[in-house]
Amino acid sequence: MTLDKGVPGMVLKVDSIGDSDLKERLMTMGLTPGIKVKVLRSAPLGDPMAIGLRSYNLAIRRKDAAHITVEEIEA
Amino acid sequence: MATYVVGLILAVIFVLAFRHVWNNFKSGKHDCCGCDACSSKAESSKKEPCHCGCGGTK
Amino acid sequence: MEMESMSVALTGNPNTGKSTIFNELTGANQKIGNWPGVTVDKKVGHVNYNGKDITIVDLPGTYSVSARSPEEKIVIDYLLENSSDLVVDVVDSSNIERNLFLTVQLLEKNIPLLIDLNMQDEAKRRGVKIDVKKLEEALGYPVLLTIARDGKSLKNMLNVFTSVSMAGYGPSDMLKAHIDKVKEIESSSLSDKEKTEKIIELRYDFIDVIMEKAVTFESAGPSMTERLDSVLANSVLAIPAFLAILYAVFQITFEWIGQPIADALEGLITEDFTDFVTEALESAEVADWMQSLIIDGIIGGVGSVIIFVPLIFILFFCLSFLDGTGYMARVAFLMDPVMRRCGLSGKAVMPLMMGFGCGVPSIMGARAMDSEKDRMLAILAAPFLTCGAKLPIMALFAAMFFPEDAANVVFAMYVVGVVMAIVSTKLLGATQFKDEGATFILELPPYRMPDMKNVLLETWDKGKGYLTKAGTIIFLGCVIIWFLGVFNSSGMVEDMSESFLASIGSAVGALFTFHGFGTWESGAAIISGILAKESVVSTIGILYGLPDISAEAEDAVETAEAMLGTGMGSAFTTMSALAFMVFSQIYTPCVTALGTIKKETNSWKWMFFAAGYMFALAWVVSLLVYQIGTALGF
Repeated sequence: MTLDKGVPGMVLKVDSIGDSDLKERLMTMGLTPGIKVKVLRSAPLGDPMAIGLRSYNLAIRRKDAAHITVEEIEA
Repeated sequence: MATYVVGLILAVIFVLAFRHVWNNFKSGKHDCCGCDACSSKAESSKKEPCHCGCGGTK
Repeated sequence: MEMESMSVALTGNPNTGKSTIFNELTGANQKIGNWPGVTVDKKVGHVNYNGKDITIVDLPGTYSVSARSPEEKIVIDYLLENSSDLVVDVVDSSNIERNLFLTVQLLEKNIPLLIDLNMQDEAKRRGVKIDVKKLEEALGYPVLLTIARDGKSLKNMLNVFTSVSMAGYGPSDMLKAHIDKVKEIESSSLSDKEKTEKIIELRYDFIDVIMEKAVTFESAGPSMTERLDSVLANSVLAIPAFLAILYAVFQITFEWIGQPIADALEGLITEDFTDFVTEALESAEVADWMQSLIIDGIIGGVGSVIIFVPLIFILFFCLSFLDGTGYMARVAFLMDPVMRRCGLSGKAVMPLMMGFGCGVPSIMGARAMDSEKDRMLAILAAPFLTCGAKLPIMALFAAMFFPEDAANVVFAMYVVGVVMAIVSTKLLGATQFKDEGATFILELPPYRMPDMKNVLLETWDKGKGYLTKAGTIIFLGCVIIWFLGVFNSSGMVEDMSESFLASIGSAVGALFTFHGFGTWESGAAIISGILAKESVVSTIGILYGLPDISAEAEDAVETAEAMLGTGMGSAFTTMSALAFMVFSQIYTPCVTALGTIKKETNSWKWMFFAAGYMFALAWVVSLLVYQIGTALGF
């Protein structure tokens, strides 16, 4: 699945970041293949989404999250 | 007499204020929020970094 | 005895408490300048300790030094070109993993670092335990523990600054091995993009090893940030909470704290100070015209601007405070879809909020946008907002013509500004700019109690500009307006309506015949407002000789009497006053803001476009307000 499909509470493992203009910046922020991310919440209007990774929180738009493939490891 | 004294004081303040505004204009900086361009020239001519109004944002 | 001097550079991620450390160490003994060629703050401060004069440079907070943004370029250029005696990497201990990315990147470039694990208190609360010895071993560089606001830990920090000898440290074997791997990739035949990505992965691999060795996590239950976010970023409550916070800022500024101080100051200036000066001038037998210049021209004009200084400071204080708590990032988060529908990015919320203080940092702050289109649109949206200099216009008119609900009318004007910013952005977004793929990545930092010293310094720093302006450009404007108001080509005039100013003002005023304020006085005020928005009020102050702008609008009868006494009361109706407020809200930004637009867009075309376009838009909207309002019988 892709990260944008994640619902709050899900813990996911990142498989690949997918090619996009954001790739380098996302990776710099610690979103690298193999890392565990937790879906925290959606903004009131459904977008963007907040995720927790490497013990901090990051907001990204669902459109950008759609490039990131993940694997669910805990519901 | 007093008129001349007061007038002189006002004239001095006026010139100082004008110089401030003119210098700001020439160096492209402004009082409100972060001098835009304390140019590299101004930077090297003074020892301290040039000083201006409020800092602006990150 | 000549003091020994040393230089220290502070670097680190955003939200690590780096600026707090800088402010706590240097206090008021700092200067804010500019990095040559770019509009990024350069903060330099001094502190004397143990017989050493320490110069501290606070570098911009960045996540990496890949030289992608001006900030990142400044950091890496500064560190490579200047030989600071000490480079301190401030790390948020509770978020050490991502913070170490910058650390590792700097160490790869052979920059010796003193690693400061800051926010120890927060790390403890969140159950993050860092073994200092092991971290030092893993990297080969010294590690220091601090709690940003704690005096003892800051003193300890200065002790370390003055005693540490970086010569005794060098990269550990682990770090050397990591650097070798990075070099190997750099010299490989991969494409640049692949190299960059590979190296980023290598860094995090290395960080994972360090984390494994030196950091342990204990579960500490949900953090305060989690609990606050479950309300403030909650899908139902977030927007009402945001509006409530905005409303509270207004109440603090206009009702609870700012306005009462402004009222007291007003009494002091319009009564005590004016009386004192009048008496002094009379007893010194100063000529009548000179008395008029000082009392009506200068005190009347500059005074009417000074009265609003408390409001400006309180507003700046509230904005700096909110910025310090980390809440502004939530605002960007929850407003992103709204902002995107308006054609902007959620990140524009933060610079635009600054626009309520002053349009200039707002226009400069637009640099934080992720795309060029977003940046241009944010630049052109910022001037519509009610900046601190427009606030006096709104406060004055609201107090005079809407004494019953002054605060609500002022609030409504803020809303008008926001709505116009949105409408204009939509318009420009659709017509002037082609679509680019917009992006948005934003750290949501933990909530923190802002450091008061930080907030106060920032408030002073910003409010100061307003005071300086009152003493310089507003003062000049007042003197010039006064002279224009009492002379015409044949000399001094008895009646202002025969003066130069009246001729100029009536030419401009004629444009507003159908707006209900086609008087030469409003015409003159509008022109002077392009110089600086505060001038609108000071010009009105001079022209109508406002004796007593009673903003304490409890007693409507008293206010009404004061209005009648000035001629301003009869010059405007409720509706034309409203139309004037709307016009002032929207029309051509002040020359300072125009200059900033020129600088930031690097184009005269955009500057003149902004000036003309905003004037036209204001003219139309204000006309609609007046005509529709009067047609409806208000």
